[in-house]
Amino acid sequence: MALLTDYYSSLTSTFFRPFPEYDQVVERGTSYIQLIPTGSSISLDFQTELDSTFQEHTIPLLIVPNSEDLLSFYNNYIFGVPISQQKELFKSLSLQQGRWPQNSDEIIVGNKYLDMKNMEVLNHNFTIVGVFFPQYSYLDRIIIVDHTKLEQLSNNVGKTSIIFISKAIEANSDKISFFEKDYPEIDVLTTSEIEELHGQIGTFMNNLTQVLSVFTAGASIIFVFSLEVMNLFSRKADFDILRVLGSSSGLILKTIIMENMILLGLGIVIGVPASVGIFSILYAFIIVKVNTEAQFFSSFSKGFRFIFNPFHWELFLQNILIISSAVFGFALLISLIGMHRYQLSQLKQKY
Amino acid sequence: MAENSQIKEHTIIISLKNVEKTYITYSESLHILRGVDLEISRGEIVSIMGPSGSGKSTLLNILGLLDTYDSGVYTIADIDTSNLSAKMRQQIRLQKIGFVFQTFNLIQTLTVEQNIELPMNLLKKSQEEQHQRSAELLAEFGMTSKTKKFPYQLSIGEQQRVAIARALVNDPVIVLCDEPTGNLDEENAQIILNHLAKLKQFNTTILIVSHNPSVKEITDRNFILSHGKIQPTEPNQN
Repeated sequence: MALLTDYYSSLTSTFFRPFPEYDQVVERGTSYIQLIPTGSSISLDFQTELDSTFQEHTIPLLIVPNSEDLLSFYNNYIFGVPISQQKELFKSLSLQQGRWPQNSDEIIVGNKYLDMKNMEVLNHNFTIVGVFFPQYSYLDRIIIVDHTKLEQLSNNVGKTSIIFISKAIEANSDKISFFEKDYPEIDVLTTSEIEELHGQIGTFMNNLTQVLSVFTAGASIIFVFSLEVMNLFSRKADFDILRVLGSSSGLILKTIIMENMILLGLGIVIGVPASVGIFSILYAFIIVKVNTEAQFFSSFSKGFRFIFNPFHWELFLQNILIISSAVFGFALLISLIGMHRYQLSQLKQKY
Repeated sequence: MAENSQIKEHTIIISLKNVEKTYITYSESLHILRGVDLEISRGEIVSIMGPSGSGKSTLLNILGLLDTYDSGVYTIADIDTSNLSAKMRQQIRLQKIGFVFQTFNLIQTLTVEQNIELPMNLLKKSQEEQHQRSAELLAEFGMTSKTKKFPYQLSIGEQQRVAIARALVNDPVIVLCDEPTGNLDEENAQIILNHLAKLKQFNTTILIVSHNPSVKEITDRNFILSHGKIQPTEPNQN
């Protein structure tokens, strides 16, 4: 059954996977953690105090103003990051073209804007000096601006809403724990905690997958088997007539196998996408619900969407081969059992 | 007609010589056929009657190659059936024997046309040939308007006509009928017998096992099977 579960997982990921956007940020290789989703509930004084505390602890800042129109700006993702810390913060994204910004009028962007030399953000003309090629497509729209400049342009000076720190800094746990002691009202979520949370979800989903797979597979086998046995039983008289009229037992077996293969094949063509789709929706729903309950920042949990992964021909053909073999094997098994059980190949005396 | 008579006299389709059959059960040994001798010529219509348990069904099963016999010789169209493989028996059933049953035994999920074409289909005849032949037979039996109907949409008389058409579709050397009128009312029984009688003009050989005395109206010879032996009864008046 573990094999079945693994296979189901592989089948699911072959075609599509749901992820809320936040999930992708964390799971897909950034080396930053989300610290405090604050929003407007934190006063400017307190925000300033937080900033200075971070600076005191030499924790680099990634700042995004809490502005709806900024976040939805052409559906792009704009991050405000101090120029001096961009190189360190985004090193995992690998700047593959150009250089890192040296002043606040220079920006780096995702490869969606590869051919652009300049970009106007919030009515300010920036020079694009570097382009990175992220592994995942949604990141190709990221625009990284100096955080002070971004705050100024969006009239959000000091209104920090999301802060990331690097894994390297998180490893120095003293800083985080000092910070938490100083600000007990702030819920600090570190990478490890997020991973743990996702691990719990993952474990839960794996268990659920396993239970569902076992249940579904068992129920399907019993259902299909019963249905087919009933079908064969109800047509026993027809097969008897065929045998008397001069049909060979081989022809009857061939007929039954072909019928079974067509029925099972249709079932798989309809059933697999339906089950993968339903399971994906369920998975996405649970992730979103958990994110919401964990009070992750809502702008990163705008619901879920389907990500259609690149089409893997090799995996697709492999799956088709496995499915076809399974269908043929099952059809053959049912047919042979049915033939034996009801003696369909034997000649009955009809007079 | 004279030529046909000659063929009748000289072409033996079915020949049984001293055929015996015994069924052995846990408790007893049932000697059903005790040396049956029978010859049927091409174009003859022959009836076999007899009380229940006399061995009529056993004889039909042997004649239809649905069962084997213990001793004696049974030839059909000059083919000795004593040592035939299952595959050969299947081929002979398909090509040389037509079966008509008391309960029609039509396949309910196939149309009238498909039921009739079924034996041709098993012989892998072309679709065109199948359609042409089934159309001929449907016309012959007055069933052209029922071509696309399913058996359950037909009256019982019509179902038996379809069954007879199916039995004839591969031009068998003999048609074996088991109580062909057994499930029919008098009117439908007469219609079926008339259709069987008409087959004489095509030189079709027919063996009918029946309790219905009206069958004798269409037969050339009649036999009675009793205590495992077959005996001719009085010659027909017609």
